[in-house]
Amino acid sequence: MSTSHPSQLLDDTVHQRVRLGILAVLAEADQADFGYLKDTLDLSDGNLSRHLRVLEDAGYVRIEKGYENRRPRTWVNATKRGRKALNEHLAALQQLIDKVGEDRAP
Amino acid sequence: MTKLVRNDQDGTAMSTMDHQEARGLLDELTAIQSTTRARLHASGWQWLVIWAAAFFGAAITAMVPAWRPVSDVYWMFATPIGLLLTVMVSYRLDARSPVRQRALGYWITAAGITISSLAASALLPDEAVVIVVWVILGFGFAAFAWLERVEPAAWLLAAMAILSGVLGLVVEDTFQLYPALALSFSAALAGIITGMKIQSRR
Repeated sequence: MSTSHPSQLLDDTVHQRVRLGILAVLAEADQADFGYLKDTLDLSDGNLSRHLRVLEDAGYVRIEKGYENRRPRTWVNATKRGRKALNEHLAALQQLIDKVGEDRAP
Repeated sequence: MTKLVRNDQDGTAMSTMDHQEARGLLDELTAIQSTTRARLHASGWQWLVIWAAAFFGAAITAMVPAWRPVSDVYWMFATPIGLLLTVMVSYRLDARSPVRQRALGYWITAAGITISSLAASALLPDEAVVIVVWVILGFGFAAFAWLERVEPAAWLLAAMAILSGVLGLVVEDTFQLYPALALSFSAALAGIITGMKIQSRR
């Protein structure tokens, strides 16, 4: 029986650096403001919107738009599926690191 | 060297990754998460001020003989006022914060403290209640500290809860112990608030 390489476990949607960053923020906070994500990840509005759309299409985040104190606000939440995808991805990255460590061991 | 080549989902560029990059990426994600955690709990100390003051008030009213009648009914007024102020402060902080956390854990802990304190007052004799209330508050605030991700404070408060219970078993006149415990919990919260404030400024 062949065992798959850890790289096979990486999720293409999550693997992108910015999208990983978005999910990492949302794993810690249940809800993050669009502006916070933009500043923390150092992105433009358009760039962040594009990545959020990819994550939303994959069912990994949910976007809520509304008004608070007469100010428009966009909140981003990670879905259960998004959290699971992030955890699996982080585990795969860790496995990849561990595997190289094993390969290098004398 | 293990080299990993992946297609970028929506881009045209191919991304490559070896184990060092994977390690670097994990470190980067850890840093992002710790920044978010710090932002999330930066104002967590504010509502603790209400309860540090409430505990201090409990100590003062119990220590001054003339205020003994106030002490007897102190928690009947301090609990709802404290809860109301806590909710108000939390809503105000939430409205300003760019990151939010589910409040369910806080509500469950607050309900647990309130219900168990009311049950203790109804079922136990007064000399036991004056100790049991600090055991409940100690564990309850340890849970709050845990939710705020201030683990040392959680351990300190849990230890104080256990110590309160032990002292209650050893000391005969528990009414004498009550103000000392109230003062200790107030001082502990003041210390925790100071620590959290210092941490949030870093």
